[in-house]
Amino acid sequence: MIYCIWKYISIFTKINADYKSPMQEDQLIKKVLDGDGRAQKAFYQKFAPKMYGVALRFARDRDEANDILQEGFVKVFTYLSSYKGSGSLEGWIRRTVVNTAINYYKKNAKHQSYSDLDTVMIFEKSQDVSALDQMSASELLEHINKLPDGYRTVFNLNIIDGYTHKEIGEMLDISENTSKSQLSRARAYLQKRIVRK
Amino acid sequence: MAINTHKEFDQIFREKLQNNEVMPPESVWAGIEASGLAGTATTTSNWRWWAAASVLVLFISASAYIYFNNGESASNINLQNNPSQQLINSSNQQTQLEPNELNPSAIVEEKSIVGSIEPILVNTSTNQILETSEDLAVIEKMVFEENVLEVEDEKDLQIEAQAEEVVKPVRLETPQKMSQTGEEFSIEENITVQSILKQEDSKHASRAGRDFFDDDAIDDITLGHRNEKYWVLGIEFSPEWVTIPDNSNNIKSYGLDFSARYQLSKLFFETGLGLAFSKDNGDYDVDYQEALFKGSYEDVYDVTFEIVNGQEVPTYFTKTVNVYDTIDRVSISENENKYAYLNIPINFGYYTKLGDKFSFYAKAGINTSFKIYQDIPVPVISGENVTVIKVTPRYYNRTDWHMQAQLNVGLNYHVTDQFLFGLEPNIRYYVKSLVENNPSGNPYGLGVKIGFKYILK
Repeated sequence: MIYCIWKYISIFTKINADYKSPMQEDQLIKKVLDGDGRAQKAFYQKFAPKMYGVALRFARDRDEANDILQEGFVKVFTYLSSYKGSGSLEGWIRRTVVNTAINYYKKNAKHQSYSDLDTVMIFEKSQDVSALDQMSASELLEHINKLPDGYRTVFNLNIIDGYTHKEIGEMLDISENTSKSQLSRARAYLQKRIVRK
Repeated sequence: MAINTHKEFDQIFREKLQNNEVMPPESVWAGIEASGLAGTATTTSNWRWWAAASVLVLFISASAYIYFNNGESASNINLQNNPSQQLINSSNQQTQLEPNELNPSAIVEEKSIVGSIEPILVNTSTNQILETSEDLAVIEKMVFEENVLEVEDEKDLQIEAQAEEVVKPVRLETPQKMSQTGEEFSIEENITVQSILKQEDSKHASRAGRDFFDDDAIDDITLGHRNEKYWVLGIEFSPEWVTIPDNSNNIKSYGLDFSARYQLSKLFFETGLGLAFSKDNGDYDVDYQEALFKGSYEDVYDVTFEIVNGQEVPTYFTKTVNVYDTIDRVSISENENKYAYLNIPINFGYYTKLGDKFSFYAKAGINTSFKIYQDIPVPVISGENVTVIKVTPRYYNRTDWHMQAQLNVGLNYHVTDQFLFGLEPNIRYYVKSLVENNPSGNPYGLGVKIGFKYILK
């Protein structure tokens, strides 16, 4: 009896350990591709927090971020077999989530050409935004979320994810110059809000 | 720290947000599973159907079990209470039971048969009739033995314990009126046995759990309505509160239901028609641009030159151009969506009376609802020079029809013999959701039916 309980605990502990310890990525991917539900959840739990951070940056609110993360992971699971292991898995997932966010933006938002003269002027005047450095990630996110859709997308892609204006132009179907101007307006918008605060 | 360049500004955002980790809500994983993720998705979506079906099957099985058990009990009860109609087949009487096969725990009941001076003993647990003369001798011996045990009661407690297991066989003092027709024997009356059985049961604490389903108890509780078949018509008001997981937009619904129930002893089948009015918050997020007038200028769109007195004189063709500054704005447009549904329920249930004035019932089944009307107001943004960019509903679109698995329990107050007032709480699970694209799972409903019923007899 005791032996049986011990055996059961051992097996259970081993199963949990399999999914909670830093398992080899290729093993995890194989199990996910085999349709192992527990492996799929472990895979999700491993990458979801970081990807949710990405989704929150691109989304206007948490509901939208939830949608982006969900749609992104469905794509990840669907196309995981096409991941060849040439780059980092996390980078591949991140690109998938970012692309999902961009598609979401394209699908839902109509591109506008902004001619916000005021914000450009304010940007030139803004000099002291030391409060920025003291802000937490969630506070910064709050400000980013309030940016207009186009500004926010360009700001994220360029400043945080490191895409060039040329790449952003191709991704969003806009010109390089539009990308640049939207970025500078995004900066101005953020500075204005942060200074006011 | 002063930020003088874009570089520093950008750096702060990059450092704090590039690897920012936030735990997503559980609903996201549930949504991924429901969106068709291999393996687990299928399991998750199917188990709800299986759970609903299992509850239904379990309920029907339990009802059937109770019904058929009562059916068996009913024959025994009628044997005792309606002696003129109940017959014991003579073939049963041929069953021989050896004295040493007597189950000491069996309750032995005495019957009198027309044409026979000897009383016949019936084992109620098997309906076997004991042979008269030999069995009586055995029984008398048992009575004697028990009396001996009772005498020695105070001397030996261990012997008393054994005696408790031997149920007293009792002889009927005076044979009642008897008759015999062919091979069948009719039992006229057996009042003494009834009272003895009750006394025996009350002595045995271990049988307490059986009392509720005991023949006598059922007869007392149902007041003789056990084998009746009749219709019950009802009209009920039914408010319901529906919760959609992961959405604060709960739905309130108010219905008026007409029901027709066919009562078959303790079981019933019920259907009907209902009209439900439902509403939810039809809020929208409206992204729009407002154009603020900044000024105007004269735009030269063409210039021509003419030679006048040997000099070139330009002519400017201009037009006035107004300059607007467009501001992105977001507004929440608050509306209320209204819907109407036609409901068709199908339920199976179990019913029992509780004394003179109350009855209890439980039922389970499905309810199918068809959307017959909807009123969804369009969001309106007031102001001049406003251009709506995007409208995002905060509510889920309703499906054209939906289906719920439901479990109801109810209590009726019998105002008169035929006129009842009922209160019926119920829970529902929407096996086919009433909203579209709801990744967090199908809704649950909690409601109550309040109304009147009329028994057609």
